[in-house]
Amino acid sequence: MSDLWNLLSAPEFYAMVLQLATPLVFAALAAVVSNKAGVLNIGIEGTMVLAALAAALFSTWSGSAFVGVVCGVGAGLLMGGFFALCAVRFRTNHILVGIAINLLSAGLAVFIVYAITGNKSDYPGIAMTPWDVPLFKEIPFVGDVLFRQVNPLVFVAVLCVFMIRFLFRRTVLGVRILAVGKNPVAAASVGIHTRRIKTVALLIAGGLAGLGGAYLSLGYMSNFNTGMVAGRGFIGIAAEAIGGGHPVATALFALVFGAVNAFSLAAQTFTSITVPYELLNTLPYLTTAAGLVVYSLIRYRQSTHHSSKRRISHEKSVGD
Amino acid sequence: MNNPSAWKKFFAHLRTWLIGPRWQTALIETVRTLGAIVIAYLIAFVIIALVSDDPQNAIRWFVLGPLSSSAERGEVLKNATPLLFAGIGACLIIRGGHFNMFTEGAFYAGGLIAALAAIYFDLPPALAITVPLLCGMAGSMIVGFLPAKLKTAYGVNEFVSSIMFNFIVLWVGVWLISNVVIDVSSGDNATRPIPDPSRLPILVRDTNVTVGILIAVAVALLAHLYLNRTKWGFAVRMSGDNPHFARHIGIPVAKAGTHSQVIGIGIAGLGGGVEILSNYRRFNWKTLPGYGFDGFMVAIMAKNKPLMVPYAALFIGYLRSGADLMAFNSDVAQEVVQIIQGLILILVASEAFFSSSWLRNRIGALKFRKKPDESGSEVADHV
Repeated sequence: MSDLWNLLSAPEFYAMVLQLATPLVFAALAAVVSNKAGVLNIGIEGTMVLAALAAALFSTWSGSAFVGVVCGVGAGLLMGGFFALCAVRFRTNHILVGIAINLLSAGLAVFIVYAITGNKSDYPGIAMTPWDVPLFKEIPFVGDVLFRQVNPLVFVAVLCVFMIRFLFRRTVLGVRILAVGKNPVAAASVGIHTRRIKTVALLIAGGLAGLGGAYLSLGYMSNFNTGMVAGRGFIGIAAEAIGGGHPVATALFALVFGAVNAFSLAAQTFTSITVPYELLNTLPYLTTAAGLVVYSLIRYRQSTHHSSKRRISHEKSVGD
Repeated sequence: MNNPSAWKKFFAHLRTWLIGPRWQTALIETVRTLGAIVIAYLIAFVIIALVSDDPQNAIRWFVLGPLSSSAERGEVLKNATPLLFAGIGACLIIRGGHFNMFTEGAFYAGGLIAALAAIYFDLPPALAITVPLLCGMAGSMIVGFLPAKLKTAYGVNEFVSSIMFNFIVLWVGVWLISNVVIDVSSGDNATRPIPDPSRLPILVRDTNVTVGILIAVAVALLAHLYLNRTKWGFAVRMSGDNPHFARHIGIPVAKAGTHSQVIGIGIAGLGGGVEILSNYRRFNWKTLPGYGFDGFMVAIMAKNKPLMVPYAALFIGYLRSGADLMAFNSDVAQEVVQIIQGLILILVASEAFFSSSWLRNRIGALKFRKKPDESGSEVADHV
């Protein structure tokens, strides 16, 4: 028990939660934007892999972490564009495009790393320098968590949450994305270019996933590893589903999953009880699955209370 | 017959006969799939040429290597076997209208449970193979029932939940083989050796082809019969094609969805057992084998027809062996296979690539089945 108390009272733990939640927030926001446009974007996972690789590659080549992040975002945009090309122009089933992109990027990442270095797992990157926010870092507990040695991309993630909220609340583009996602035929009938809007939404999602990937290889670690994304894209999609597509709620759920992830890592150092790390590793996935189930149960019960068309509404499947 | 209009008439008849409605679809689908394969290969060649110092050698091994000797041809069959199981499982799941990725975890669970059953149950030789395989199948079906039932009963997104289940199964399995059933003398996190009576017998001498491939083909036949000749198969197909209509005519859509997913997962679990009992001395998987996603790719290539799955699996098996040989004999990594697979998947699944309406608009003989043209309308793009 003292282990748990020590852990929960240490600011380092909360800083770690933020670190681990950041890629999930980016992935979840990418899922929000593409889901609002009516596309279930499974390719986020693969996009993150390639973006992480691009970030590591170009940061080493240029010697600057910033260039690496920009290239990571560029890779994300490229994959978003590829997704849009397949899903919107070639009219391929979204889930299949996602599966294909995941297959392709997993293969491509290993292939590129092998072609350059001759090994199949790691590529070094240049880590971003963490920021100290002057003045704020002096705040007793909060300062240690939020403003001391924090990766700039953590702030970018917070900013992105509110920017996405702003996008859907206050901008024409956001409303058009919503319209296209809700009912493409109606949207087209009032003159909205549905394909173009979908493409833009997928590009935004790709860029966000790219930020998440770049954070993984340049912020959370300082190298690219082929297994480093480890289902984070999918956890992001789950956070989006549980958050009901609201950017802030989604980000909060991503934070919860980040906390579970941080806990599962920190609990390996507990001395009073030893739980094997393999079982602790299941925790993030277990919570995600449980959260998804609870959310679906609540929504199911609501739909059975309020509507007589319950079978149809709950049958509404992923990605159509 | 010198009259040009008579010739024209004759050819029109010939074409109608050759390219009748039934053959037309088959022909177009074949051309589409072949076209996708050719394009993916060309892109792969370009990539290989970019990274390799000796692209000619690499491509020769990649394309001709798998056919060069009987041992290599056996390797193709060996690689195709797990893909065949995964592909059939994915077929059943997709036909029911679901994207349940637990075939991946089922491969792991099926393999682990089959290995444990073979090691720890003291089985008589007659049952030494069947009981572990059935245990693996049943075990993965029990785990796989959860995401399937959650989807059909409460609408839980089966794609995401099944992927979470994959990771959970993986880590529980890794925990088991590194703590509970670990054999320290192996020098690795692995189980005890699988006893010889439980290992699948070799089918072709001097190769690694086991009777697993026969089981796989039998399963493909059974899956075909199940989908196309039984009441439940009909329910599965109907609820996959149009759930609203299926419900309207009284088909229990939720039930059909659950059991198509569970059966598909069971087939993948059986595949995991077959894979472990034919090719491994001990169970030592520390990552997911990846056959779940490959299975979906194979199923899409086979147009979700169980009888076509063996051909698709054989092709991917050939691709794999070629890539392995290329990686062994040149400086190109075998992951180029995943790139090719992804490209083929996108091209085969895309409705606009080489679509029938696209072809019909270009080939006069096919015009007799022309539908109203939808390509120009803006609203037709939501899938």
